[in-house]
Amino acid sequence: MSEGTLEDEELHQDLGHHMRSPLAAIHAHAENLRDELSGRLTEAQAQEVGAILASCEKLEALIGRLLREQETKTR
Amino acid sequence: MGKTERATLEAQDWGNETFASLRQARLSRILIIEDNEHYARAVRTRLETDYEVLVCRDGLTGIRLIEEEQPDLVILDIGLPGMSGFKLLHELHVSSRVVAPPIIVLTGSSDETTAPRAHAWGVRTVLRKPVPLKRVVDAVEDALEYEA
Repeated sequence: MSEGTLEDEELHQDLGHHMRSPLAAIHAHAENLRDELSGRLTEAQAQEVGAILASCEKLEALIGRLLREQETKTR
Repeated sequence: MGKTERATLEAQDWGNETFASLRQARLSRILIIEDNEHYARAVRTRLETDYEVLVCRDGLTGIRLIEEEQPDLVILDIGLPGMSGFKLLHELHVSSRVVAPPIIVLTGSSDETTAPRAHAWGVRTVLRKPVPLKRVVDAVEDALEYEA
């Protein structure tokens, strides 16, 4: 494996890990909103929060796949 | 200003200097050691309806608070600035000054060695972010019941 390729893969892994951390925070706060820890939600607000959670889950799955693929390549 | 002083000030900045200011009835006390401020705040919000919760963002402050405040349970991130979560677990293991509380590791690392390494230091539960907060609450309840 060339040095450039290795650097690219390390960059992807770092990016994945660094993206995961703020995403986990967004997801956790959205869960708190959904579960009404900060007060009752209107139906429209609940739908908005549901959309945030669904998008978080999609992005988490993408990042997870990216990290797994990178780990498989580096083995 | 030394690292420890700076870390202490940061802990104060988060408004969480000691459990004493939080103590009312004898609720179980949980220390969250997590460098992602926003994530820590979300976990704290979830837990503080049922527990006293203290938060700090680095391992050095974490060790000090474990010794001084003797929490009933610690939620520990592994990738911490200064002293890593593993280093903290090692320090707790060799320290004669404190009985290590039960610890839940909550990590964003996908490293497959994280869980076995944590279990080797006596950690019962390792959760990998992203994890639903309900699972964190369940793990906290399980750990506190097990210790009771």
